[in-house]
Amino acid sequence: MKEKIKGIIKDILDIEESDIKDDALIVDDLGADSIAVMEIVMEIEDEFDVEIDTETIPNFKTINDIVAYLEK
Amino acid sequence: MKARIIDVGKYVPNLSISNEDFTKIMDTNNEWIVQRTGISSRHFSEINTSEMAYQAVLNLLENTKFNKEDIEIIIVCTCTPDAYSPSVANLVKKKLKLSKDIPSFDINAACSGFIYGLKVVQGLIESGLYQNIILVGSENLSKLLNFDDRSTAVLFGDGAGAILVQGSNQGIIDTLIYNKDDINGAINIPNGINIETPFTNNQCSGPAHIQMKGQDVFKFATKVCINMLKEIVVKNNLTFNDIKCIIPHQANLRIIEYAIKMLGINKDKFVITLESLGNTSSASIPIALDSIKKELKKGDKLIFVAFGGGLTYGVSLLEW
Repeated sequence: MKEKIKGIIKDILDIEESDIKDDALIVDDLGADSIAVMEIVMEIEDEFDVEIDTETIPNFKTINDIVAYLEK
Repeated sequence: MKARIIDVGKYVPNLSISNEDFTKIMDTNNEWIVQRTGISSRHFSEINTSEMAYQAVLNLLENTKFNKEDIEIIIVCTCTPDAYSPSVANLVKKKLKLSKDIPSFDINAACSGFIYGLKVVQGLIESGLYQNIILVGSENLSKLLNFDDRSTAVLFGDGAGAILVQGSNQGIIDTLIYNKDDINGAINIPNGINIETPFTNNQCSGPAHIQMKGQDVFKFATKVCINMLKEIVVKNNLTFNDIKCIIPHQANLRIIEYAIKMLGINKDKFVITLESLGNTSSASIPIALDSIKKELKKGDKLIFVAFGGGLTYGVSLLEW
């Protein structure tokens, strides 16, 4: 799951996968703006067949946060 | 009988407001705005919605040499009327000084207004009720902006576009319009006039400003844009190769680019004018159409697609 999420983030932010650490801050460290975050969420929704409420998105600071949410 | 767009006219105010101008009144910068919206400047109007609509109609009449006395009905799409009554369409008709009492009325479907208007026009012409219709999208959005909110104030601009639609053997092929409940309050222009009577428990509301939840809007807009474009070509046994150009509602470049990426369509097919105009709501599609009309040949297939407050959305496929 984590590798798939990293792949999505890599493609959307156009960065090297090696730069994407599990605890990297998606906005502050990886440079995603609010729309890029939404793009990441929408691709995760498609990939994992889930519906993520936009109210939840501010909780997704790192990849670990996203994984924890999806594993619930 | 089909409803054919004969020609288009527009009005764009002279006053252009750059991103740099916004940096003088709020904490923002050009790079921030361009990266998130694709917008560099927009036009603000010192005249109200009905006068802009009237100017667009005059431009249309000049382009077509159509006799204004042959207009049978005037419909204006707007969510920024001058007043509750008379309607903007009533005011446009008055300004035109027509000799006959032809009907005129407004449609409010926010940024999808022009597609809703096309659906009404299509029905009126296909049913044989009318043959010569003026449809206008006109918006003065600057009067509804909150200049303390940097996330919305930079998005919108003012303008108007008008089309003449007549009965013909070719024209609009199909128009689909929808309304999805705005559960999360993604796009709102709340308030308006307060309830204040001597007999009611009055609650004063705040000023009428545009409010948006950007991420909810992005998700809604991209999904319906992608789904509607797919739906209308499949429903009409076409592929995107058959389409000369697609005019999306000019809300935000990131929305359009995401749809392009997910659909795998060449970006050159999309008409994009928002860089210098911003989001002009129901006026954005006719203004964009005006910008490319000289490149269109008879028989070219076009798609208009829009989404907006409500949450309204719609798509129209037509032959030029």
